[in-house]
Amino acid sequence: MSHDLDAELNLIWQNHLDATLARVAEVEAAGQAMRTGKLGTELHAHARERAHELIGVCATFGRPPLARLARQCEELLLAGEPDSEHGERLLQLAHQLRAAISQG
Amino acid sequence: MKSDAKQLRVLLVEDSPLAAEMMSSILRNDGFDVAAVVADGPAALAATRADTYDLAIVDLELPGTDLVEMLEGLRSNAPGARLVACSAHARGSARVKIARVRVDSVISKSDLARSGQLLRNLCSHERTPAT
Repeated sequence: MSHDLDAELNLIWQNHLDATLARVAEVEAAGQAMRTGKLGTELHAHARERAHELIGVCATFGRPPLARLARQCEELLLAGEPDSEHGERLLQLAHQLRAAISQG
Repeated sequence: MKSDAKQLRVLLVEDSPLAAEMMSSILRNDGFDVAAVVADGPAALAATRADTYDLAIVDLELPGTDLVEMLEGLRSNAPGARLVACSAHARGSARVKIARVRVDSVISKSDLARSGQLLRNLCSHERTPAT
């Protein structure tokens, strides 16, 4: 990748960082609620959409490890009955995703 | 932004508002005119009935959209436009295989930023009708 293109992509990524992290926050909220057995249908569906969005965004910006984390979040949100174990794992993944995105 | 390229009119079909915004920024930086952004198959078909585009870039993971119906509808509505499918998934996914025979090119989302010349080349050649 040329330095110019790299810089342009990084600038676009940085310009959308807050919006991207807001998506992660919604996945984290679902993980927290799932862990405590309080995940409602609406939050569940919303978090699934957000995880799906994050896969596309991370992939578009050439961040495959982040896209994989987001995909793992989506898979947990798509998997059968949400329980505290799934919630704990989802929360861990979402925290990892937040840390990785924040590092750029 | 590149200034030497003809401003090709792009229809972007992407359900995620954030991804759409970021992809639009990438395309505009590369000299494309992102004329319309829509979120699903029916809106894409409506857009191609109402206006003309040089290029339609279609996310393959649109929820609730019949992929075959959408791609064939786009081809029918906009025979002069090039269709490019875009996916975050691995190259061999089922939807990529479905799309590959119905579009002019399939690109990975991670390659979008490096695909400007490919997209321009596609638009500069006569399309060979599918047999």
